[in-house]
Amino acid sequence: MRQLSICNACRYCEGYCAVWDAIEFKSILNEGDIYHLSNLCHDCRDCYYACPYNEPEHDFKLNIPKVLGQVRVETYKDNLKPRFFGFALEKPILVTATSTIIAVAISIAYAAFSFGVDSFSSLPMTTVIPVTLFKSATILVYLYTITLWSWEGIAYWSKINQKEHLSVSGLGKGIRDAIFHKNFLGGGEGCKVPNHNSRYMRVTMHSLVFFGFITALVSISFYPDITGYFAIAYLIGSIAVTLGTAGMIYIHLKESKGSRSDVQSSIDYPFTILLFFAGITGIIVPVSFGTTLFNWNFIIHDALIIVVFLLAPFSKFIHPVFRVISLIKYNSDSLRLSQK
Amino acid sequence: MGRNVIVVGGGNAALCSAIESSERGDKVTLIEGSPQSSRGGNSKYTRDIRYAHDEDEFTSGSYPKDELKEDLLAVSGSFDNREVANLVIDRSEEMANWMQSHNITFKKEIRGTLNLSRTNAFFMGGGKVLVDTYYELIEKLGVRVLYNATVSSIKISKGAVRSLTIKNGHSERELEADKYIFASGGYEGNKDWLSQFWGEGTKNIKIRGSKFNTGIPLKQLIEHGAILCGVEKAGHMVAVDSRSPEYDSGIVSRIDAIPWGIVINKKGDRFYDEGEDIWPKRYAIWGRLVAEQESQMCFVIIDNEAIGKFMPTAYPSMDANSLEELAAVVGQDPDKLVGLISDFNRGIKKVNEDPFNWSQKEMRIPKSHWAMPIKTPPFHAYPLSPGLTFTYQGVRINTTGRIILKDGELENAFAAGEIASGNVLRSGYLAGFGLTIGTTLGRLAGGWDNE
Repeated sequence: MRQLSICNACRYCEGYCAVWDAIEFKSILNEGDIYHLSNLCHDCRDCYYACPYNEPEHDFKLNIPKVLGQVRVETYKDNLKPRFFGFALEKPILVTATSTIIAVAISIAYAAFSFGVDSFSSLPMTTVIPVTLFKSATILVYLYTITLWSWEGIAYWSKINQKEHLSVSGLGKGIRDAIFHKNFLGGGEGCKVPNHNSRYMRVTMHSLVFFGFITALVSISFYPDITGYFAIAYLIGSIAVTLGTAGMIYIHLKESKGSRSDVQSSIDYPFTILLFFAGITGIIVPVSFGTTLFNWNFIIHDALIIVVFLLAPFSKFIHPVFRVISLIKYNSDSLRLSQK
Repeated sequence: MGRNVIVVGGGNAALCSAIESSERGDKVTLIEGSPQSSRGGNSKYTRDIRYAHDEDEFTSGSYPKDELKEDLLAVSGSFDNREVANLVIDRSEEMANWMQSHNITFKKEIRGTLNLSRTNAFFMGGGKVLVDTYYELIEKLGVRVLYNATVSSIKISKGAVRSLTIKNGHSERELEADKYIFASGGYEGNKDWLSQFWGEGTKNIKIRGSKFNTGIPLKQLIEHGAILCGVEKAGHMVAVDSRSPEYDSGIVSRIDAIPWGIVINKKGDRFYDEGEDIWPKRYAIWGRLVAEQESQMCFVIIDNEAIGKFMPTAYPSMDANSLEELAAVVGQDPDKLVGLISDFNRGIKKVNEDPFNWSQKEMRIPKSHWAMPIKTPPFHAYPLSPGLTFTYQGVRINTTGRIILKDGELENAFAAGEIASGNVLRSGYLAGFGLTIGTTLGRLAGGWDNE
């Protein structure tokens, strides 16, 4: 709050991203506004590099992306539903690691006990994972994720909403901004992470993860038909996810120490690493087709994907929900104010 | 070509001259007094340039040279050095394009803030990005940069600088070059120097600029007989929040609420028309006005109607539900404050609905515009101190950028930026003109069209 009051009096960062426009919509900021701003921030750090009032040199000791990052994690924790799973964000590394190990162990046990370790790798794919099992599991997992995400999204919305109405065009523009990564472009400057040396690295890496994930998701939904174009699409999607997550991890590691909050890193890393392994095993799926490796890799890959979705409402994977809601609010506010 | 050049200073003017020199094939060493993390002097607190232009992509309309000159004379009264002032105005025309071709990104549009969208162009991220961009560029151009380095003496003989002694921590060394460019800023960070003019009150002046601008090279040039330009007390001085840090508060310390309320001094009296026309230009007289009051301490008082009409402040206002309470909060006599405000409210003449045309002319000190009655609680106050951005007095230069001593010009020494701003500015300030002076004179000193 103190830090953002200084920003509001300065406003030199106007133009970098939606945070800086949104700050100008109101002359006095309250708690809900700060929650909203924190989810508009995507940690590109352009404003940090531009700030003459930064810690540690200046008395004001500003580090806006860091405080917004901390607040952002708070918004995840505050709106996590059902409350019972709150521990998942308190101990994200432990929870991610444990659930991954359990899921992989279950799938291996399933393979070993149902089919026998020796014969498992030579069975046809649809015997190992029957089409009905795959389809019903997919639908269940999607329903589960969408339900919990909506629950959390509504809780978040009620915190940041201040009786201002959303508009349909704001909705459209918000979703468009999210898909096209508009705010990753730094108003033409790009995002300078890591360490002021880059311009388009972050937007490239995040786009790879995002579009790669969607591509893979769509192509696998044609299961059991996963040859030909579907295999190529799945391969491309998985390569993109692998490269993108590796790039994101590289950026975070390279970015100077102390620039991000530990609590933020602790929820970013496990999710990104999990996705990275999902990407690697995803690459092997089409590549190993027809070999003895295929079945083993395929069930481990499926286990990882299930963990990604099961943890979606309790991990970094909440971020698209809150981000999109905030972008919709930002665009609605912006349209309404420009009409006045 | 291929000369050795030393640039003293590390802000915009120094960087522009270093770029211009090394693009011409000179071997440049830049001497910055601050550590790397605080580099850039006052330039890191800037964000826009004011320049003469036809319609262009950076602004909302054209701004002819004559209009820029009129605006400058309106705040400054006259020029101490008309030739140099004209040169700055003429050469400002090429500035935006030059900056863009040297990696600076301008904003497409500017909302809010001051109403400067026609006359000024704003660059992305503000001054820190500007200086960081230029530093990256000079590193690529092969400029050697020394941080934490100050000039401890200048050797001058037979109309030329012979060498500089550079102090870097505990070590001192003498550097010789073919050409010397002084772009080391004003002396706003040097409170001893300021106290020669402001006496005791110096301690109450907030320095909005860099604490590294101590004016040491300027002092040495003066000792060598440099002719001074500009008025000694003059500087860019605005009213800032008294709670700001002593140095380096930059833009965020300013209080923009004055036209919407009244300003009282420590004794509880008004002392100047708060509603003078052309606020963006008059804004820069308030530092001086506050500095001339007892204890250099004043308060601006507004009511709740004024909230949202001025730029947000970094520090919260001091609030109270009645004027008596507010008087207690700011340490004033309640009866006097209540009396003053009821006199003020009583004599207000409203011509139409636009508060610009509301005035109060019955009091000894009038308020000629925006005389809005102060009557809606809660009431708010901001404590005001003088905030000095940069000093104007500096060395006189000629139209080649060379420094003039009492016995003639120095053939190989140039000055640019705030150290030479006295050639152009006498009083008042035009937003964005500091960078214009720095960029044009910096490029001139670096050899732009000046061989």
